[in-house]
Amino acid sequence: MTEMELLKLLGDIQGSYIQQADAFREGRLRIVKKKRPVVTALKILSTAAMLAVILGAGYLGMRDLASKAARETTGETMALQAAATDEENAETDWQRMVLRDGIRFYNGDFANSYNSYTVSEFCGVLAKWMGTEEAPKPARYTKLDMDGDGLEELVVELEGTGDLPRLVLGSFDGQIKGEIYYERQMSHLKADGVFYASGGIGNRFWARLQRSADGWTVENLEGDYTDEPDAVWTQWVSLGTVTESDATSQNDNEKVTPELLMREASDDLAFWVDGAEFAVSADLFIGDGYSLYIPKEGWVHEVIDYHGTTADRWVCADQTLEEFGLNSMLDTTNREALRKFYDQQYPTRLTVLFRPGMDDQALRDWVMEANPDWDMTQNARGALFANGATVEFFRTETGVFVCIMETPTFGTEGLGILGAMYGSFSGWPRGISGYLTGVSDRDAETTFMMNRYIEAEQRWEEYPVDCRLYRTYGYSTYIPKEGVVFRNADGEVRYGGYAASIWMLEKNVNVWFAVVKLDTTNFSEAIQWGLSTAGSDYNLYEDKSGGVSGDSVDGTQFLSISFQEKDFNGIYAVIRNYPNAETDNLSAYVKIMADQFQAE
Amino acid sequence: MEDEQILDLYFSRSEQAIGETAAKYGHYCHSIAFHVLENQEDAEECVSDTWYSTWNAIPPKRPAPFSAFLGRITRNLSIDRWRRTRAFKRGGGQMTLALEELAECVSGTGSLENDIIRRETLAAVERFLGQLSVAERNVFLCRYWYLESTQEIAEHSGFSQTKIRTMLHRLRGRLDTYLEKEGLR
Repeated sequence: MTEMELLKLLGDIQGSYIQQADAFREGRLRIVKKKRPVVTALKILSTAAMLAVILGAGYLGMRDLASKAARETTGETMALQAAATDEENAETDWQRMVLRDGIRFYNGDFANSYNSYTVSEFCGVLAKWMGTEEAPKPARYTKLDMDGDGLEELVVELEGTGDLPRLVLGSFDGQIKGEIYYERQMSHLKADGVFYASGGIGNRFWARLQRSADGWTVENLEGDYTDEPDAVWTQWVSLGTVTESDATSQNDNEKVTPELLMREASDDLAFWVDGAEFAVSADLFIGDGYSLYIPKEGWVHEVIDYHGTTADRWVCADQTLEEFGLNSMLDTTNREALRKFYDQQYPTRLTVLFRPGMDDQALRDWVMEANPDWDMTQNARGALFANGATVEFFRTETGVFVCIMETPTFGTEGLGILGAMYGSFSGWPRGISGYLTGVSDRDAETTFMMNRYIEAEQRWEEYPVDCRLYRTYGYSTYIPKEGVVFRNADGEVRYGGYAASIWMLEKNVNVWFAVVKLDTTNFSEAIQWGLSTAGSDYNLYEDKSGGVSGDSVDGTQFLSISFQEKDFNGIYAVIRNYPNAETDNLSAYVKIMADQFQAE
Repeated sequence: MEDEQILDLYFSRSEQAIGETAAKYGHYCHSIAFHVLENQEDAEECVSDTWYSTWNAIPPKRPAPFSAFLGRITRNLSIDRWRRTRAFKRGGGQMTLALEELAECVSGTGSLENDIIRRETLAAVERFLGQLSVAERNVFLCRYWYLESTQEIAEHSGFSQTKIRTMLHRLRGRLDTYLEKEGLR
């Protein structure tokens, strides 16, 4: 065959491929929503089965899957291994079991002696004690080392009627104990367990818990912890209170219709269970910038804060906890019972979130950092796999959608339907107004043409600087892809008393760009801050842009601080610094970052 | 006008069919022709020839999807015209570049003149395309069906040009391996 014959042969391929490619050319990623053909369903099955085996094998400590599979490990052996792992998990993962009512904890706040409760029972007792009809329920939680002993405690925030306390739970010699702290006793919880407390009128202080034999006392701390990073909370989906109406998909993107997306409002999701193909009715969920089909029944939709990023999450509500232990781990080698047990430990759920303007590897690193418990491996397509989780990435013009599928270790059914749900995922076509508000007008990557002076050759040269969009809460800018180091990667950086984001040039660390969010909305105060921060080392003057700029006293450095307001919520200081010797050269890099800065 | 209505016009032998086709698919077909020929006049002539061929083909054919049918005719006519005129021209163009790239996937010998072998090869290529992810397949077809440059593909896909080039290189390698395995290279 010749290349021309191959080229002409391609002309005769099926029309649907040509249509799809044309849609792709126009920016519409998928134009035809066809019912999933069997071959695709088979792919789902094979992937599901393979992943389930890998997940199961990985969880049971069988690292060498191939050799273990060859040995035809019996179910009984697997069960024994799993039971051993249970005991390990009891020590390390009791927090998850407590949240799922799988372990009781002791509390003495509502009686003269300690009583044991599940979280649900505790909420019932709390409601009775407060005189409210409806029991509160867990809203979100965080795992922190509250008392500095190196072990993580569980802090649960409740939602419901009245002034509800936070519940702090810890393990004391294998027994779980819980204590309540009201808002005035514990607020502004920080990532290192420090919190703000009140000991009465005019007596407010930073504090942390001090562990004693059977509980905690509150220890006053010196110093101001205001600027320390806040605790990261995870939304908790209370499966026990799911109603049929809760399970129905909801969305806020009313302006975007299925017709606009060229998708059916309802469709079937096909997947395989035990060698048989199943189809479930599903409704189209239209999220911000994407759409996918969610089964009409049995799934709960929540909007959560996923490690600082808003995310849509669907949790399979078809999980019960009736048969399992209270304050003890499962004492059985029955394979079916173990399977159910693991199903409870690992909820079946799909999480979708959007991360703008990040390169693929940085995004994967972020996912791995957000989930340190997952021992992830990356496949050739770039997807991540871990015990009980699969993470897929879907690139759009402005960033990447991350789809996180979490499934029980043995849950082939869960993975099957999750795979079908993910398979129906599609980004919105271009041109829909409101597409990812705030990012639609900025490309994920771009190139700026800059000029530099070649001293040796006594001439100017134009050169391209490839940049990627950096977008974080409140602002975005373009950062050169090469030659720039994000200083904060080594830890928090402060500038003028505030947390700062700083980028430095590898070639010369005196060439740097920084962003600082000031807590004032007054430009005069902002300018004063700039002048006082630069201090006597610089001669700064107010410039045309309303910022301040000028040379250092010794004439070697140039510093510029401009200001941008953001929704009356504070002012951003955009700072660039470089040696005067780099005015016609490396300063171009910081100029790009400063000029492209946008408060959002 | 919907495709079905346009096709009805062809079946009733109404010349309005050509006008409606040109109105709806003129830009699409011109884009295909221009990518191959890279000459405005040649592309326009090719598109006119497409309407003529379509008029002759319908009826009896009632193609679906109609756009792919028109695109296929335009592409074939454009490639034929390119082959006729290339003797008078020199250098690059997407067509030349695409052929150079596809040369990696073929032996350069033998022929697809035998209809059975041609059909078998087409089926194998379709199987290969079916194995690709949607994004991979679209990038591949944008390059070798629509003959778009990597820059154009990068612009409407959101991928970088480097990524497109890398992806195409790998896809050609995979196609080469696939055809070799099938004994069709």
